[in-house]
Amino acid sequence: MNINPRLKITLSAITAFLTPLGALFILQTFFSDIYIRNHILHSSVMAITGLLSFYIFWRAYKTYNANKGDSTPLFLLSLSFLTMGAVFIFHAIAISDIYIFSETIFDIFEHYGLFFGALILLGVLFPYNQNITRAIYASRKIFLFSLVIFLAIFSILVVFSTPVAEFLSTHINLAIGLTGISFFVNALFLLLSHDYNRKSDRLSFYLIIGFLILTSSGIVPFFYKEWNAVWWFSHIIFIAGFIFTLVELFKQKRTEVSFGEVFSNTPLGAKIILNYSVTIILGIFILSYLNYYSAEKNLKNQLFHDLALTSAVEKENVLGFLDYTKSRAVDFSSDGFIRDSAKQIINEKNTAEIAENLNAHLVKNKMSLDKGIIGINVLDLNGKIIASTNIEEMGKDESKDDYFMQGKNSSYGDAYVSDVVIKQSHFNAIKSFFTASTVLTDRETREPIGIIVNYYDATTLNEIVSGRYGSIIEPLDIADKNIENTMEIFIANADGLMITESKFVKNAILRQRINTEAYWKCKENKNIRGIYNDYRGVKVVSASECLPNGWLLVTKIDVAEAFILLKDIQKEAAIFSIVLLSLIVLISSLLAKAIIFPIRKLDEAAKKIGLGDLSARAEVISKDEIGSLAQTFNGMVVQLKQLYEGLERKVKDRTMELAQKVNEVEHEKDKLSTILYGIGDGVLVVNGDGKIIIWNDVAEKISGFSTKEVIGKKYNQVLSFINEKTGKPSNDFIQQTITGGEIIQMPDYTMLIRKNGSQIAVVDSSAPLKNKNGEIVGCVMIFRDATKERDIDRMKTEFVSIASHQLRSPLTAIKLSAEILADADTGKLNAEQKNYLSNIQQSAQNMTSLVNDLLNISRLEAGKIQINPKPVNLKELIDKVLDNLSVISVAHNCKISVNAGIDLMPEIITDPDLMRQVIYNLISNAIQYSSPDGNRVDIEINRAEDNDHLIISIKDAGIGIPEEARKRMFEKFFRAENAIKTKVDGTGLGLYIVKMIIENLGGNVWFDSMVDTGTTFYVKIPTKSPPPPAIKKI
Amino acid sequence: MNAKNKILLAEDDYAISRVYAGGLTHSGFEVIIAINGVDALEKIRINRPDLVLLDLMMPIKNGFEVLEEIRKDDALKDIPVIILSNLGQESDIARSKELGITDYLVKSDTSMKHLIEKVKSHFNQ
Repeated sequence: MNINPRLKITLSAITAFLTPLGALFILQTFFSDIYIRNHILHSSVMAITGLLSFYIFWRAYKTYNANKGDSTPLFLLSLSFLTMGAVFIFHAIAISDIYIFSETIFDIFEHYGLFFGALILLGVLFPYNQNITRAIYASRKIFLFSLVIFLAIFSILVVFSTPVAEFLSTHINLAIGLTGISFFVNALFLLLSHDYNRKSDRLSFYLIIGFLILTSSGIVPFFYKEWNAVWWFSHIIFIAGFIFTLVELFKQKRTEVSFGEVFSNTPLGAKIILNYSVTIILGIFILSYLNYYSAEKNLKNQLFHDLALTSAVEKENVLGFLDYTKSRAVDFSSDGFIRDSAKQIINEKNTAEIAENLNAHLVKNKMSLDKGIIGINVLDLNGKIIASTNIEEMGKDESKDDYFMQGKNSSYGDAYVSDVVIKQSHFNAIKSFFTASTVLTDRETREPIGIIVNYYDATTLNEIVSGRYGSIIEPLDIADKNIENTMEIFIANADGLMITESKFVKNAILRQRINTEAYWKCKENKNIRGIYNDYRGVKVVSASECLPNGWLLVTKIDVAEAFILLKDIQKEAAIFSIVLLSLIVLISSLLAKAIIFPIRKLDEAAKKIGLGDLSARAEVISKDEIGSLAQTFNGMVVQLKQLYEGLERKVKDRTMELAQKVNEVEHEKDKLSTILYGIGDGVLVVNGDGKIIIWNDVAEKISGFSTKEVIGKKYNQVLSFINEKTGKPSNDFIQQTITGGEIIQMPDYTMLIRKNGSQIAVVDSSAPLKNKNGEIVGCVMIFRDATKERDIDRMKTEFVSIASHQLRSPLTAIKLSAEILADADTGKLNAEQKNYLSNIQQSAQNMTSLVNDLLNISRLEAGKIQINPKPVNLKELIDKVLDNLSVISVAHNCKISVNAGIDLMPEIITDPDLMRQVIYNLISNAIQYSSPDGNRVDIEINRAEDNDHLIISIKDAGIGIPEEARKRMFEKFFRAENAIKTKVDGTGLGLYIVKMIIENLGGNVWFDSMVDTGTTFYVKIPTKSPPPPAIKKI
Repeated sequence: MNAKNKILLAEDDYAISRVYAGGLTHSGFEVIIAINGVDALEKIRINRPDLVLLDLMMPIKNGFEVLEEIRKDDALKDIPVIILSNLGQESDIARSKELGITDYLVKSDTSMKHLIEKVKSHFNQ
């Protein structure tokens, strides 16, 4: 069955607290008068309790040690029980019958021992941190030793120092009350900080029960009388409390002990309740105690005062009575009849009649005067009774008796009162009596003739002290009628024997010996007011008076009765305390609730907010610090909410922006893919690993591979390019793009091997894909079907070849024929004929040039310049060109110088044919446009400043280029005005071709010119032709 | 000079072949004229010339084909060949050179005198 642990423990705690108290009241009502006076039983009980306590000490200490001192409270538990154990063992040997010390001392031991134990336990509530815990463990033996020493010193002081013992005894109720409070507070703390969900907190649970039971030990002592049922009950409580404490400790063995940091575990509310309760309870208790203490003191003083007064009054009564007996004796001794009769009896012989008369006189006239007198005797000086109220007394010899001796020696007018005696020899009395005796003198001579003795019933003294004897002063009625039950006034004689009847002991007179403090003090002739054990061994409050005759008059009341009022006050206080305690706990819990409630509200709100509910607010309306805190808190939450909402809005905005951007990107992507996929060329994109990631429809169409087939594959697993002419694989350009990071055009004559194995002519280029850091992450390649282009190109090439062939052949024939004619191999020609033949030759030559230039241009413009870089010796190349131009140079009577640092001139890497064409065109121009007078062409080759280029300068002394023509010099078919005017037939294509070639070779061309002075053309070309074979940069 | 060096001139253009033949004969060479590729091969096999002047653009069999057959034929492969053509494109020159030629002359750029000098220098004259 699963009972809520909180409910279970709380109910158990309440039961543990209330059961002993309930039992107490029942006992108080019905059984408080049952006394079991059994020392052996008591000692056994106390011994068991003490041993249990020692065992708890040992067990707790062992566990504490085993756990390396991680729980200081456990150590305190052990110390506490060590203290209590010692006390109980001590108490066990306090058998009343063999009291070694006074009972007061044992009471001190018992109650202060418990108090110390409880006080040590209060240390459990201290919040120990690790350092303190460790320090305590380190010096545990010192603590233990110190405690033992303390207990020893305490015991010695109590036993040997009366003031200490008296002081402690006086305040014993304080110790009792504080014990109860300590246990209660301890239990309450443990209860309120109990971790209900931890199994290992079982020790705490048992301690709560144990301590709550022990709390009763601070209440019960106010109710018991020694040896009564309640008294026994309190002993049972000890055992029960200890057993409960032991139960779980017994199980703990060497495992964890978890009643650790009690105070730090205690909830705030509990702390407030406890603080209130403890403070108020302690305050009220101490105030009550002081109140009680003063009440007790007052009561005692009052009591002492009253008792002393009573004693004094009674003393006066007794003394008065004794004086009265004396006066009576003196009075009788002055009786003339008695004196004369006695003289006659003593002096004369036949005196029977006189004696008879005297006897009768004594009975009739004297004894009747005092009802206390049981007899009167007249003695002669020899101690012989000569007259008596009782005839049987006659003739007895009393000469040895004290009253005779004292009476005989008493002076006239005085009398001697004897001690109380019991003698059967007089008047058949079994009663106790005392005598008043005085001397009888001769009426004339005043000489002693004998003595007269009055015998008084001793019980008369009783009547006097109890006020029943019609005496002068009535006895005081002290406070309460109940008090009279044990109130007793008695008189003891100098031998310490009672001479009045005891209220408690029958036939006490001269039998009951009193051996009390009062008696001993009286020996020193001191009166006493105090509490001591009377002749019965019962504690009494008493006042004594020493009488001049050595008698002792004692007025006393049993303490139990005398202080019954205090008992009542105690009981009322105890009941009041319990009610008050409940009330305080109730009020303080309400108060705590009032304080805690807003804090809890705050806490709840904070928790809600912690869980993300920003609409939560702390509902605190008070205007105190908590209210202000709550307001601040709420303000904070509002700000937080605003902040959060702001943030949320921002996040939303950002998200929207992002979404928009994503949309845009998507859109872009769509656009891109639309473009990519819609583009008329095949597009393929590979990533950095060379894997294909994009493959458009056209690519699919051209290659025959579907997108599905190629995506994710390495490009060279799919694509296979070969050179159309050589049949060699030509796949490198993609890898070159990726590694080189440059845009590369596919080599000419590239064929793609399609899926079905057929070849298709493709053109285009690949470009690197770079991320924003400029790192190459892939390559995009565009290719298209170039079959038609290639066909057209082939046709064009063929056409150009054919055309040039067809044009050149007849020209060649013309030229050769004309040459043969001119050489006059076939017969001499006249001047006119020669002139015509020259025209033919010139025209044929122009025609040839034109054809050549057109052919070149067609090729250049078609981008079909194929650059074949080779090592070229420029000097040699120029020489060859000059060789070819020798005909026209001779014709123009032109001197040509070539100035080149040949040794310094390395072979350069360039295309020799193209280079030759450039040099040819420039030199031929220089020769042809020279002025007829100073025909001279200077050619120089120099290294450029950057060392990577050569500059060829070709300087003529020709017609020069007019300023307006300079900008247009490299235009196609352009000829400057002054050039046209010359005889030179030009096509206007030469410089155009030069510029095209030079730029294709990675160089440039420019000129300086002055009309009629000459022109210098400069060609700057790289020493190493940059373009790789068959691949050209766009 | 013991015997006249025999030159086979393969040229389909009648006018040109006559001019060349005239010039070369005048310079002391024996010239055999072939008017197309097949004719040229036939005459090369029969006459075993010391030099072949080969035009590239010829009917029936062009100059490249003729050159290939000469180089394949063990008996003919050592005969030096000078291309004498109006095709001046690099591709043509390169292709010819791959097949093994002594020289490449573009007709339109080559005067008679130049040709004769070339031929003479070939024969170390």
